[in-house]
Amino acid sequence: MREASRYFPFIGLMVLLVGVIGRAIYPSVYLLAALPVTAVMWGMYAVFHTAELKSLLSSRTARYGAGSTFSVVLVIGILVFVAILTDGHNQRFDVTAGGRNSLARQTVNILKNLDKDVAVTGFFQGVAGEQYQAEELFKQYAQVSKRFRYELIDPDLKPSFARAAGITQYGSVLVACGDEQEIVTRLDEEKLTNALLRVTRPGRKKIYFLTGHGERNLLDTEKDGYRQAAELLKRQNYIVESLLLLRTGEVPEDAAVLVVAGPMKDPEPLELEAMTGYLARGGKVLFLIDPEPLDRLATWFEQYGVVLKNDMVVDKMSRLYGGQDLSPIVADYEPHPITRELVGLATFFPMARSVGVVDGMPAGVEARVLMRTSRNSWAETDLDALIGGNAALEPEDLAGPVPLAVVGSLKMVKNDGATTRLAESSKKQTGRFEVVGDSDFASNANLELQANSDLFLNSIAWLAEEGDLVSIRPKDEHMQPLTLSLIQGRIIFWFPVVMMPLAVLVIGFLVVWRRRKMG
Amino acid sequence: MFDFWPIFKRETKVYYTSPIAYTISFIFLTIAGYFYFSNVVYYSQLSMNAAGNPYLTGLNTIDLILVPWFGPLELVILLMLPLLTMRLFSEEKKSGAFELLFSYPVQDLAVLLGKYLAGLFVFVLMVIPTGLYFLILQGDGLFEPGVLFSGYLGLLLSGAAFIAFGIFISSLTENQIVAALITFGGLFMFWIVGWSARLADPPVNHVLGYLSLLNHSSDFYRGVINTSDLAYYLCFIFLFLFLTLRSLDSKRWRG
Repeated sequence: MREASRYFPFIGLMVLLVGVIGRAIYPSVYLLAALPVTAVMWGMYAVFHTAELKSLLSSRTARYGAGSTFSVVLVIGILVFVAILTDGHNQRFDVTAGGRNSLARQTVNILKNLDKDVAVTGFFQGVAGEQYQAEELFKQYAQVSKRFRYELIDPDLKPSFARAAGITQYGSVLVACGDEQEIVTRLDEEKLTNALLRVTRPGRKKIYFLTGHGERNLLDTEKDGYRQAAELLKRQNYIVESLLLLRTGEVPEDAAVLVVAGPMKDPEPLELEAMTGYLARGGKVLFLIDPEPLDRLATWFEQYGVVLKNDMVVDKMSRLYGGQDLSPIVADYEPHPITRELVGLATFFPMARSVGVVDGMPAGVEARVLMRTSRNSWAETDLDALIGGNAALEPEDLAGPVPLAVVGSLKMVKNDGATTRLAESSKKQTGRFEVVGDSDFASNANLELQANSDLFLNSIAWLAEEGDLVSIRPKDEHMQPLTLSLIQGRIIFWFPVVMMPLAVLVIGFLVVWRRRKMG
Repeated sequence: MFDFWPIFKRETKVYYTSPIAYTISFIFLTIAGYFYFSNVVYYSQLSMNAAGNPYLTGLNTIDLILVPWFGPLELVILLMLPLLTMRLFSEEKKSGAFELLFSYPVQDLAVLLGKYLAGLFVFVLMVIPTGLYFLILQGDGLFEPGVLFSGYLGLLLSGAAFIAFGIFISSLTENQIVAALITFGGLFMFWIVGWSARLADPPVNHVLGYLSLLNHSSDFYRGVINTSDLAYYLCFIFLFLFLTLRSLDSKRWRG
């Protein structure tokens, strides 16, 4: 025991360190047990080596030891000071060619001009790679502007906090400035900067939902209602209201977007006129049209190059995803700001109709298909057969891939008849619309499933935010594909993996062997 | 102070006339070469898939070849450098040449520097040849020189830090195996202290994160040179070299 106790001081020190650091990390009472254990260790050492300790303490050794310890403590103190200093005030140098680790010029400008405090909270799960990247991004923002504060919270460790903030997905980021707030998912620099812009600008944009034709109800919490959609918009800093166009006759001036969600009856001619006027003066409309017979609306759409047929999309692929034949899934998106981040994600549309474009676009309009269903789907026109359960692809049906949504914008027509897109730098707005052949995808039952909410929000955002937001080109644009030739493939194996190490081994062997021979 | 040169020469000679340096270099180069090969092949497969998919972004050599090469290699050297440093003082203590060493009219600091720089020299000589890997494919302009520079800087600083820690532990014991084990254990603790930072609340989590060796190298591998990271490494190296001096000094008055 006496021999073993020689090591006790060291062991005691280790236990103490583990206890202290552990206690700092994890507030468990049991870690405090380190203290008595350390005391016991040191005590036992003292007991077994009393004589040595006594002579040690009074000896020259003790004096030198004390002096040495003091200098160590001093040096550690200085280093801690240096560490704190350099940690707080540091300079980063981005040595990449494309500046991919730096913020875009627009972001830096916006940050420099921030005149209000912004609090950003990232809700990431565990020690994910996402959290690390988000933190890197936040750090860069914080370095530019002191008004940018950030915090990272694990929603699993603080669920009530996350819920109160309205977070529904891991990887969400809450951007808040005063009362204004917004939630960003799938964080990247562009979205964060735009969220910054939106929460710090005065005033909120208004989204009107058309009523009077049996459209989705914003207050309805049943599975077909749109309460969640309304809440989602409000969390994104929009004001949401209903609009009885029949009564008002005109779309209000302050409407950023008009949403027509699932009408069961045709709109009246005066309403259609009001919408035409609204679009002409730069308004934005989102049409979510279910497979109801709406002939007046379909005719009205023709002037915008949109084709609305009386059909219903059948998609046998949906069964693979756990859906049904009448809930087409879209996994194939045309390149467009609305769908850019949806690549690889699925959206599904229970009971949808086809929405296509005409072959010859009318003057003044530019419209194109945004999404299509799979090749194995088709748009069934024989609705009786559908109800009977024996629909099949007939020649009059539209074969897949079936277009499910169209986006379009109005062009300015010059006096000489030539059409031109309104210049980007002009402050005047161009009318925009999006027509989707279903409104169920955004109902309470379906909104939070798959990427439906992203599609909904991105559509509103694209419509509402024309010209206001910045577009930051993704830094990864400079792609460097590599195709290895056969020779290259061979070289990169044989040379690094075999030849170089072997060369070292051979040299070593020669040197050592020759020494042995001579010695 | 420049008396370190004879010590340096002697230590380096010992390393290179015995199997140590060659064995470690051989193993390191094999692993490094294999990582490089495997990353590049994977990258070229991704490139082929990307050709048909216009939506695939993020195909760049930094994220997909360099970072996953430097990162794991740091762990590899964390495991291997203790084997290099374990003999630096322990060997002499064991053989009894230790006292002899300090009876020479040479300062402690010179001895320390000579041994430290010898270890560093072996390490650097082991790592530099890997630069050839990148030259092979540089015809396509694949690898950004700036990022290669910062990546190697990070790896070399990490190694310099590991060696400083290793030499300190070596000065504490005469048993080489124990020295290697404690060095490895200590370095590993510094490495993972960053993980536990997630569990703690501020300001503790910031302190723990700062202490972590891993947190300070990752920026270098991505192409960011951060003065705070540089300062960390310099402080780390200085601290453990200083502690080694204290430890050597204490032999004098330990009696």
